[in-house]
Amino acid sequence: MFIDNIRRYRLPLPVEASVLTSWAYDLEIPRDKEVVMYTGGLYQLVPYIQSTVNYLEGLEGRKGVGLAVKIGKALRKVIDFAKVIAKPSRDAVKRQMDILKAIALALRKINVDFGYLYEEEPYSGVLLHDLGMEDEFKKHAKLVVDLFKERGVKKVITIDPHSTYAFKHLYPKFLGATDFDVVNYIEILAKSDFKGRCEDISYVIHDPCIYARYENLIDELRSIIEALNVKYVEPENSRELTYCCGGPIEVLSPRLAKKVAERRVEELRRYGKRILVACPICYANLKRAAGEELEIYDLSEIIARCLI
Amino acid sequence: MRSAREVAEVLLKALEDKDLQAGLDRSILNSIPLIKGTLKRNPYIEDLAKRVKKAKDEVLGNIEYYIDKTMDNIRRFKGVAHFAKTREEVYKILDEVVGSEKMVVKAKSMVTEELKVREHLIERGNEVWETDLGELLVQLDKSKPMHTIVPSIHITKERSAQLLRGLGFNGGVEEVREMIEFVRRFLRERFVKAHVGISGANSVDANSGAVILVENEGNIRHVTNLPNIHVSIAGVEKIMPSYIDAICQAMVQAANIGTYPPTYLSAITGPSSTADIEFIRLYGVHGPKELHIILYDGGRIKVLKEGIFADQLHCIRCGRCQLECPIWQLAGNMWGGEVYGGPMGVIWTAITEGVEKAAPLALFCLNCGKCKEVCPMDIDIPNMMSELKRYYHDIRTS
Repeated sequence: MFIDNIRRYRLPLPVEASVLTSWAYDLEIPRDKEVVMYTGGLYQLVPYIQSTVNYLEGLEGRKGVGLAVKIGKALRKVIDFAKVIAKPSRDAVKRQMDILKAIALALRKINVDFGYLYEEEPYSGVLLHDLGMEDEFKKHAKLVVDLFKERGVKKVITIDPHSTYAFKHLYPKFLGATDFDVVNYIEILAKSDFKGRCEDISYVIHDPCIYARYENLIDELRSIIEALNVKYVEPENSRELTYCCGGPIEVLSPRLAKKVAERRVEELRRYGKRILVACPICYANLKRAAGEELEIYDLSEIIARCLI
Repeated sequence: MRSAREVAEVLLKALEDKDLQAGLDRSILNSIPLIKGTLKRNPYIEDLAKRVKKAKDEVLGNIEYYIDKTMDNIRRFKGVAHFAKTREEVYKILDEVVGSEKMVVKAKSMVTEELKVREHLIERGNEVWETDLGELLVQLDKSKPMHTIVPSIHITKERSAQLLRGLGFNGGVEEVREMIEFVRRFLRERFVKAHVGISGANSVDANSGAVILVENEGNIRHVTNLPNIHVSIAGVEKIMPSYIDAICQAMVQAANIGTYPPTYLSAITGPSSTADIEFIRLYGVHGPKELHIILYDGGRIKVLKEGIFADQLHCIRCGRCQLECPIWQLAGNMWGGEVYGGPMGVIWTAITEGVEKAAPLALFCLNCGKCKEVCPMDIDIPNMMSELKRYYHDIRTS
């Protein structure tokens, strides 16, 4: 089903283009630039992923027709999708838009000049790879690379771990060297000398697995928080030893994914109520497991609040 | 090939198994801090692990040479060297060496689980006892080991008492001490009567054929010492290029389990011997009169040549990746094949049972990378999981 959606809509879930792009209109981000901020649609999809996974979880326990067939039938078209999946709340949608704006504004603040491809921005295809569909992934990646070339993109600023890993490691692995540079916004911010105002709140850090163990973006994340003058706590499973949020198997088994998230939540809550994440998938899964018990914030939200 | 859904059902069922869940929670809670503490107090283990990895690279890159060398040196020290390509060949050797109507005592060993040695020997009319307490419980429970080192994590003390009652235990369910005392007495008789002791090997030194064994209970000392015949079965990947490398591997394994130094570290080179009368060396004194070492291939050499899963042969079977894996923490070895489970176990399943068995299991790997991070051999399990995921999809679509 997700694969079919990627084929048809270039995204794992069929949502209207405006859902993906509306955040950027407010900031009047230009279209044609050699450097682009790349969202991969992930933050925008968070509220929809949450609704979908909740829906799938409801189906998971039932016997009878295979899960894949059921959801495949249910979610194939935009119209059907809207019928079956609960519409996310306006607040939930707005929050993800604000996250994207916060990242864009932080980049502007340190004078990074960048554009955005709006509705032309392709999905990275990383889910195809995660599910083992390497040929499909390779085909999809080729389309992405061609599109970047056609639009004259020379440098991509990624803002989530999954797209970062796809562009930095998987694309070169499957397609050889690509024509564009890839840099994560955390790397850019960590190198700049911005300052923040102290907030008398402490956060528990939840490192995304990919940043910590695949991209080695551990100290960079902390240097940003320190530059903002924000306090933080390291749980036992932190840095290279961070613990997965369960997200990668949320489409295979929402219940199992939630169990993984619950274990992580169980650990994090011992250290504090406010959790700092830096990945939309981590956000969605920890939120699903923690409910209202914990406050989960994306790094960019803290940046937005504290940047002077 | 099983579907993703079938595997999901097994995993979700494991979530409902209260004994398994309680056992998993206890083992995670107790073992991880113990292991971290051990590694912190003994920082040189990290250097030893690097040394072991290098030594393994050397052996795995020249496996035929090292098998021959090990066989020659086993013979030089008066052991009997066997090489078995398949399970059937192992059975043939065992049938010759053990025969039937014998009393056999066993040390816990994953390769003998893989080969179903206990089941085979029983079928041939032998009386066979597992002597590791946890493995004895697994034998009585007719289940499978849930962890490489602590096989009985899914068996509570209540269940343990119930299982031991079948052997004559009449103490209470709270009396763990009494259960241990009972098993000690029960097995002691069998150790003395046993004709054959069967063990695995933590490592084997190519230069001397020495078999290295690590344990805490003391049962391996009995298994490998009291019977007239000791048979050690080792996967060919357990060969190490030198005596000291072989010992290092055992040390690294023990430290990554958190019981370090281990209570017992045995190094066995040849059958027992004496030269006390006129310096003439004679074999068969207090310990075994015969030592058989079976080097078992079981698809490993092919895996080394093909390359895809070769990295897994660095595995020293410490089970650290199991303890730290979020999915194993929820399902134990229910996430696995017939014998091996957890991150390393899914790959070992691919090696020993075939990729079709392993591929659907791999889909549930989170690709979070924790197994690689904690692995003392730095084995890239996530990468091999990706290969299996790809295989699953290729088979499904073709």
